[in-house]
Amino acid sequence: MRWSDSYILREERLAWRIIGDQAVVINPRDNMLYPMNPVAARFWELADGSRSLSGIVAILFDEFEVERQVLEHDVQEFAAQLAEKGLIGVYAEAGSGGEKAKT
Amino acid sequence: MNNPEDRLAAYAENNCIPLTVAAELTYRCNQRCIHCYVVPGEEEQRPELTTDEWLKLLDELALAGCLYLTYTGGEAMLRPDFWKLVQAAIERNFALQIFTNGLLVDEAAARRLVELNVLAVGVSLYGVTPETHDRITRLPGSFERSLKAIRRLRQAGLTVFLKHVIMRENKKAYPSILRLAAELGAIPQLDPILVPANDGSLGPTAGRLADAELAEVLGDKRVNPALDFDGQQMPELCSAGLSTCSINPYGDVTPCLQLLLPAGNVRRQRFMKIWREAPTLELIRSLRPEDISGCRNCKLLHYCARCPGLALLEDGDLLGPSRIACRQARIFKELYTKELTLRGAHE
Repeated sequence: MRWSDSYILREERLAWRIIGDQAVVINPRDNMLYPMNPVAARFWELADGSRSLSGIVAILFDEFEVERQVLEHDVQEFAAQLAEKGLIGVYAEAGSGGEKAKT
Repeated sequence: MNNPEDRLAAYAENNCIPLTVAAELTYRCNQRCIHCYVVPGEEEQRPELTTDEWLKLLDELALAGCLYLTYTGGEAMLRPDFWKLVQAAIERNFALQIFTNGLLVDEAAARRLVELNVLAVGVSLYGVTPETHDRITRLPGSFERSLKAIRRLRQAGLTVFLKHVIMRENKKAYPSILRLAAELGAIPQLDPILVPANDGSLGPTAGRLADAELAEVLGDKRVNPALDFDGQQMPELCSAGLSTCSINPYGDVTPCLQLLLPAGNVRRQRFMKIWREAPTLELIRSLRPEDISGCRNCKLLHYCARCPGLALLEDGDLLGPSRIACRQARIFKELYTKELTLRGAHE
């Protein structure tokens, strides 16, 4: 399965808020606070398990002035970082269905 | 201001976002601590917010931007719906902290708190022996139970704050508390200032340390590793009412647990309406350092950590000096002067 086809879901039971146009996420497991800029914050909002990575990229591309290729690259890298930190899950199907995709 | 926590706090203050809220779930308690600020009998006079009222309030707080939520009391775990309210807070993505005496924390509770991703638990411990701790809580056996709770919480993998108020009755215990915290992997939180009761009566402050005792604590390098002052030139204001507030068991909103100016009640008004429009909060937000009229020209300003809540509660003036802050500032000045002399001798 290609990364761009996988579905992204915020991990449950994380502490987070959208504050202004930014987001802050706290992982209680390590007590780390992750601040997110407006694009990252919007990504976080959209990562509700109903959208594929490419679907999220399409929305971000509509909403922010950024080159498509740069956006695709940055979003994929960002998603991989969040997955590595245990902040999101990457799934084969929508709504956290199916196997967790390899990250 | 390089760390993200400080930047977030500053953003919340500048934009009046209630980032940090203390929710006093109940004033009922299973201990009778000699220094407690809850007015005896207060817990029986008014009906506490119901489960549904708290749930609705949690929705409003999340919408308002609150991230850091603390459940406290009284003993918060005495509420029959305690776990439902913990679950609800986590589902609404709060960073939840719980203050407790630990008496109801068994192994299942400790595991559940971890599973629910609670950020931290603060447990009060007033000594390292039953004699000292139980004399303060007025509950025989409470020391063993609280200590067991701390061990269970740590073994379960939770971040634990060991909350230790220093008073005459336990003034020699804090070095042992520091050692115990290190041994348990808990984070010590020492507080040498007893506060008046919520109605302003001074009974709970009877055990405050004398100046010499307070100087010993404040000057202890284990408590204050670096006696440094940041060159403060004006009275400082705090975040109460700007980015923090408290809600008591009956729904009264105040700027802080200590600053008990009533802003409104969530049974009568929506939280956001109170937060945005309460005259009390508008007044606090309009204050500037130069408004602290009694302190502007004080020679101790440089060393002062005045709490407006204590100034109001204990000395009756939100904008005036606070006797306990003046005492502390005098002590800090002496300690700092000694420290500078010592540093000079070493250079």
